[in-house]
Amino acid sequence: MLEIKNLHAKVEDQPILRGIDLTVNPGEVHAIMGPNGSGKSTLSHVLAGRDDYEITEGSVSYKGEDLLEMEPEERAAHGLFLAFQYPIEIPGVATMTFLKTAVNSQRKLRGEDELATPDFMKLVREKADQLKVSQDMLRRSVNVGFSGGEKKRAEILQMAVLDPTLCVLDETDSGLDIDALRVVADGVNALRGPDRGMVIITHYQRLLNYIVPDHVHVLSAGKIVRSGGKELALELEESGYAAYEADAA
Amino acid sequence: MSIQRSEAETAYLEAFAEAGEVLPKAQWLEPARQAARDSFAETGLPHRRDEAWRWTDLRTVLDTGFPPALTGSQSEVPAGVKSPFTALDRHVIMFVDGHLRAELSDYEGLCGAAQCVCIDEDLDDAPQWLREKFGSAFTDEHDAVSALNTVFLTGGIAISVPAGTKVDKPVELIFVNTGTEPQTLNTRCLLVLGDGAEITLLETHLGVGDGRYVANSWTEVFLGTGARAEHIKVQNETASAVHLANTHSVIGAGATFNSLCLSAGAQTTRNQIKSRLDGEGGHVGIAGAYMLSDRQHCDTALMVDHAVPECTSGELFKCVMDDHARGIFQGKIIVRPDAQKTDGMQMTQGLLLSETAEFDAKPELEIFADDVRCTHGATCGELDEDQMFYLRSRGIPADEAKSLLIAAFIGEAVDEIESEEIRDLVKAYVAELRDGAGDGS
Ligand SMILES: Nc1ncnc2c1ncn2[C@@H]1O[C@H](COP(=O)(O)OP(=O)(O)O)[C@@H](O)[C@H]1O
Ligand SMILES: [Mg+2]
Repeated sequence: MLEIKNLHAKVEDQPILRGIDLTVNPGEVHAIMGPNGSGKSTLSHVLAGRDDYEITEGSVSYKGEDLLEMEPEERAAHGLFLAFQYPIEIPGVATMTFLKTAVNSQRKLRGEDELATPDFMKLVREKADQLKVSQDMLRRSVNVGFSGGEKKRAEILQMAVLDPTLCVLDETDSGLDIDALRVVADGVNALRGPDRGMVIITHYQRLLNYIVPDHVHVLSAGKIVRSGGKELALELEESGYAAYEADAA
Repeated sequence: MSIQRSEAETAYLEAFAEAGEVLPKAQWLEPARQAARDSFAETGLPHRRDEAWRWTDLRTVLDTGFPPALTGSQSEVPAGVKSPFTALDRHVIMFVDGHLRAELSDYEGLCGAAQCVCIDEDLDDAPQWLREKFGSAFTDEHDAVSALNTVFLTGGIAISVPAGTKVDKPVELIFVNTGTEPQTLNTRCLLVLGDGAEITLLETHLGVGDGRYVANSWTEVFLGTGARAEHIKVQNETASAVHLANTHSVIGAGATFNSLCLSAGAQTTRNQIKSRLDGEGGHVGIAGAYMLSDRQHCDTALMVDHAVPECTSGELFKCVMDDHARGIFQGKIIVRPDAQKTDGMQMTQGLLLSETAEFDAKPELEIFADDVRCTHGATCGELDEDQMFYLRSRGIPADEAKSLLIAAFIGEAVDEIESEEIRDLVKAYVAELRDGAGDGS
């Protein structure tokens, strides 16, 4: 469903992604690991359509379409979801209003009818309960005054409500204690299915004990330098990224 | 030195004589009218060499004669002209082109609880409280806007709420301007609250079509000991109109005056907001919001005067400027030598939606007491790119994301209103205005 070929991207003349190849098929969970600054978040932002990056080479096709040609909102309506490493605070926009606007905007872009308010409320309540997101959080402004863990749970709630086909999770585990990690992992696992692809970006192996990936890739200095099965994550946990950081230099 | 009279000045001066014949008779008001005529004849319209008017050269803005509307019109109010507060259970007093229209008003219930005097009628028998308070809140400075309003006043209402009375529902003054002729509409509202009295006053200024006219509106509020008033003003004049407004309040001991002024319409707007804390323990809250586009220009000159100890004041202005629009905020807080333990806070924030939009903020503190806490701040920025990207990444189209962020920005000022019902109506109106703007571009 996602095919990234030889992707190069730069910011202010600084090359950051330097030839990424990655294919994600429906039902697969891919983990991308790598040292800080290797370009993991950049890759996720490029996929979601942030326009700070200049794509200098390569292509990304998603469900047979050119993803790079689409606006961020079109990508979302086509089923792409990015859980941000640092979720953005939006004072003055209630979480519930935000969710409803997002759901209905996507439906509109896809030519579907808007969801009636009672159906929407029911959907959100159900998912919020599973993710231990309180009614109070839903009433508050988007991410404002949320703890680190609450922000990450709110991201997964958005993901569950928006029901995407490709989920990209950028360091969703960072800053979570073990209980919060379990809640988030359960939420993600509940969304695993034969039609859905996932890209889990993480610095640590820990999350992968709970969300077991089919493939693991190591990103270093803007390139995937090694790929393997889930055992690669364990190996990295043992040896660290030093070898890959040396590679990059 | 004699200066060349502008066309507008000449038209006003010429109307002085005629006005004397036509306007409501009020012998007691004559000295004030005469003083106003004299001062206008001497100084004319303000221009940019007057420090307070440096951003808004009224002599240039009024580029043709706008004679005062001295006699009432029977203009229809088109169905499309709708107050944002229509859904609210309230008393309504309607003015069309500067004159009160009883058949379009509905405020009998109010007259049971409070004393109401129409300013359209002869005022020789006006009650004592009216004579005493009328135009008396701030008399220290002369300015042309007040002078013209005093000379040409044709319509308005004076309301006195007796001590201890809580007016049962909000009172809305609707000023509809049909703009069929280039004229000046001069209206006045005087509100006098006895000790412990309470009221919510809504003031809605609506323009019809695209007529060019000058609306000169003056609201004065006097609050007795422990009185409370909430004042919400929504200004949506036509895109070519000029809106000149005085909003004065004098706040007694332990009284609270809380206000919001939303400036969305008019080509040129000048808000002159003055408030004096006159008794210990008083509070004034002044919130403002601008929603400007095209070449709209809105200038607020605000002054809060802490005359006595232990009062609090807070101002929050949230100003949105698109296209070539220009917003100006001049805010002065004066703390008199006696006014120890004053707590004053002022914050002004501009949001520029285009590279050609402009915002100027000039905060001023004049503090003559030593034991006070006064803060002020002004910021100006663009839409936050991270917030825009976050919203769009969730499937919300750019234009809608922009609207959400604008509504949230303005919403902070609207949230200063205490009544949730009114807050929601104002927010809905803001969204409606924004959608209208979106459709047009
Ligand atoms: N908008 C940006 N402007 C400038 N440099 C950036 C920007 N985004 C990322 N970078 C740089 O690109 C590199 C990769 O960053 P990032 O993708 O955030 O790495 P990771 O998520 O793997 O830690 C870093 O050196 C970072 O400083
Ligand atoms: Mg990162």
